[in-house]
Amino acid sequence: MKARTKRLLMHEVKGVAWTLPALSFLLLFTLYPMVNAVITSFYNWNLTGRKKYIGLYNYKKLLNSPEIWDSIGRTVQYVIYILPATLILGFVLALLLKKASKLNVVFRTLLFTPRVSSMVAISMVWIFIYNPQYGLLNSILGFFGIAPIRWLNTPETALPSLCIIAIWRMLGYSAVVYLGGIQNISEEVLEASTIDGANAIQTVWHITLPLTTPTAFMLMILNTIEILKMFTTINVMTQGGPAMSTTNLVVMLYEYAFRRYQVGYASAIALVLFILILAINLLQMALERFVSYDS
Amino acid sequence: MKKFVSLVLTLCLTLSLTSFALAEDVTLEFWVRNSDDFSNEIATFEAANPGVKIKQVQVGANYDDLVAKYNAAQVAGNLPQVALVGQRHGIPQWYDAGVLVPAAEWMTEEEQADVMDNFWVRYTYNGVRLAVPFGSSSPVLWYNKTMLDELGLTVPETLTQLKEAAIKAVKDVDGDGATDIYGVNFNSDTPWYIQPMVWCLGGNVISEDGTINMTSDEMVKVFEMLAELVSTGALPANQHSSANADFCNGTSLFYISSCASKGGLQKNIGDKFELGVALFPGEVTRNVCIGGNGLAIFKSTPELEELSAKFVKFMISVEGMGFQLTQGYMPFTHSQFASELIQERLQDPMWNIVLSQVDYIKGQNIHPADSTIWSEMTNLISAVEADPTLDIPAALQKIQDAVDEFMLLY
Amino acid sequence: MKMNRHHISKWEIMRIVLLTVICAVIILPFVWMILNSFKSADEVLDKNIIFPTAWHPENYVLAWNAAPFDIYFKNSILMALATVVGQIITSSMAAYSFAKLKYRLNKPLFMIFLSSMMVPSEATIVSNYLTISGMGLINTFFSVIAPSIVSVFGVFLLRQFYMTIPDALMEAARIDGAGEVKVFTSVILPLGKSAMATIAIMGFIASWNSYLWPLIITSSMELRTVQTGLRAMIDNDLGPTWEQLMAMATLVIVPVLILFVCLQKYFVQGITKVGLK
Repeated sequence: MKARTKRLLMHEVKGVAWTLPALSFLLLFTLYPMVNAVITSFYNWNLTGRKKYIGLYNYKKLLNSPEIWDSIGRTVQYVIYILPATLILGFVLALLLKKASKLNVVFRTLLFTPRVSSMVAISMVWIFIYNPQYGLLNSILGFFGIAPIRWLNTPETALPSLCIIAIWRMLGYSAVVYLGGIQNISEEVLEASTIDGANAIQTVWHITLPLTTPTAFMLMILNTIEILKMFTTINVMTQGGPAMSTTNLVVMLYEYAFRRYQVGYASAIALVLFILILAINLLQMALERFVSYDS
Repeated sequence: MKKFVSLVLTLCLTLSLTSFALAEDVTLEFWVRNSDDFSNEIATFEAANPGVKIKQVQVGANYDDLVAKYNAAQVAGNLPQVALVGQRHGIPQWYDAGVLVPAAEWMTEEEQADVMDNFWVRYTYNGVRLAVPFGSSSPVLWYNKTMLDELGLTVPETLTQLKEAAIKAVKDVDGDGATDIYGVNFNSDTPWYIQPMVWCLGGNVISEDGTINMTSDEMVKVFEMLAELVSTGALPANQHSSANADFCNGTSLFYISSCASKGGLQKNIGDKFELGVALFPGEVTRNVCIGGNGLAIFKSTPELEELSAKFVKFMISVEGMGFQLTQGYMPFTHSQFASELIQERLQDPMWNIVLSQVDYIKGQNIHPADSTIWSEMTNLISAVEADPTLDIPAALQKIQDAVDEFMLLY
Repeated sequence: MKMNRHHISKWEIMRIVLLTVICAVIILPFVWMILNSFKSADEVLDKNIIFPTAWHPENYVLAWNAAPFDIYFKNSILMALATVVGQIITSSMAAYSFAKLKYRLNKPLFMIFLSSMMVPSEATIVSNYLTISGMGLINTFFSVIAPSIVSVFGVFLLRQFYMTIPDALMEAARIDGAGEVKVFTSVILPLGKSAMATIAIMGFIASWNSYLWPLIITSSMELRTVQTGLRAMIDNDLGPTWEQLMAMATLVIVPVLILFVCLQKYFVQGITKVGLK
């Protein structure tokens, strides 16, 4: 009995030991700061002076301010605009790209390029494209006789304009991930379907779509986290404006921590953001029972 | 494996490069922005002061970056000896935290008297002069003279005249329904231009005793004027980040921006149109603010602080102003104004106008709430431009509450 | 049969046209960036000019000389490589543990890893600065890369790969007398190569793009990265010089694009396993 306990314990030690290099860095540079943020959120601290304990004050102030609810709303709004587009269009693109051919490799590579380009650099290019007076986009619209749009300059259009960039950036990536799911479907299943007399659309609907649900599910979770943490594009292009119409929780957190030096308050915002991400992910996890893993 | 070894080697090399310092020399660290380069001035100083080395470190792109660096360095206890500090960025906080040596302590009365009083005010907190003014600029009114002449308008002297002229300039050239020529626009540091407008109407934001009043009638009037400019189409709403380029491109009659924009404007405009500059418009009275940066000394050892003071005094002397002048900053001491360099510069008509604005400079004490006010104002300006019908007094009251609350906790 | 073939080729043409249009739209910003990087200052702001009337390659020289970009590029490359090496080592070890070793803490630990994906890096900067300064490591190469040396996405992706490796393969190696480490290096590691390519590119990009952390943790030119130079051009007091900024953006983006194109085959193989349970 004792020997068995010892052996089990050895298993635990061995298992944990292999994760240690990653775990130690993760604990030190991601999880400890999060715990630290929770503690700091009970203080008033501007980094330079003494930390002043103020209990739940930051949270009371935060939850009573319309600012945080607006930011939460917009954070979710980004997900609502971007996520379905990346999932649906990504799937369609993957269908178009599924055959192995040289040309498809070229298409695939081109579609993926936005994902691997520097966000700051490409955001500057987009600012230039969106310029209301001499930007490329309004020139193109003008060619078709459409009146210029003030993309980043009005509260109504700024957030959708940023969403377009996010979709542009995530689309190719999503398509490639789907491609993996589609290529994983065995030929026999597809052939069987064709023999049964199903046409292309029916095959997609009854075979491809259900069998790629695991991919869609993972993609949904990963993309959601990425959208919820969106920062660089917003910070470079609009700084959260006009009239705060593009401020999500990360931008708000950054504003309070690095522009107003209210680190305690910013920590409370960080916690709200973490809880929001967790809640949305848990909600999505509940969808896992609709996922079919038997391919 | 080879890659890894070379990586480790580079790592060691980089480490050894950063931990230098020759034994005999005393080295002072001097933190500046990426765009600042005082190498020439430092060389002159080092030549005159053997044994002292100045290590200029460019620590960030803008004042926000700088302040993040200083705050972080303060917590970790590795602040530089001498620092370039943005005028509204954390100076009172560092003093209150006890890490800043106030300028009043390392400058004699006589030395202090050489720096012009209205510049000092901006670096004074609770009656103590904390940092010494350095890269100073002031907002001025740039205009497209060619367009102004075509429209048969004169250079506006007052805010009301500015508003009227700006409204007259609005034009849809290609008839697509969108305005192509606007009347006026500010640079993206919008609150910096609202401040002097409030003064010009006779109001005040932060009074001498540190009381903050965001809800004065004058403040309301300034925002109403902003709303009117937007609703008449004279000002392109929330288009400040491209204001400079728009103006250079000939799509705006007026451009309100720092006097330090001169070089950039002249270069980008070229011969597209004739550039003009005028004093920031007054109204009931004429008062303008200053912006830019000052020099501060952080606490170290008495010996280092003494050397730092020596260095800072050199930097604000006539010999030390070379780089600042190439950047378009203003002189701020009596001896700088008397220098040949500045006297020569006054021959240039544009510089003459810019420098004559010195008479109208009014300082406003630095305040711990500066950054909070700035952020709130930025948001409100943006909100009013997005919706000119916004309830301005109510919005200002909200800012007042936020500022009061900030100070209560401070 | 003949009808059918005709049918397919019609679809095929439509498919290619559609993909061509979509790809054209996707790469349009890059084309626009490159075209503008060759224009003169006047033409950049003229909405009627699409192609530069005269090409100005000197924009690149001017942009390159606006900051010590030779140092910045060297640093960015070294830091990105070090980050990638670190990420591959840490994530392959952890992934092996999660995929192949049976122990009670396996699931809980993996959940901790996944949940840390939800922590926004902007929230950790202040605390990490204090940690690094407590270690006395401020302004070192290590401090710049330390917080990004673990990629949870990498752990996740490699775990997906390793789970498909049959246990029999490992058993065979063990019977041949291979120890735990030998099994890992000779059986497990080689089978995750394509996932490593994916991690390498993702890690490289993340490191290449980082700005705030390197800025705050370093205080000397010798450790600065390309993003610093790029930001300085954007935040210029005098307003950005668009044609030079576009030239610099091209220089910042293109090396990573080339890296991606070279590795894209492995990269795509790697990423395709994301959705498998």
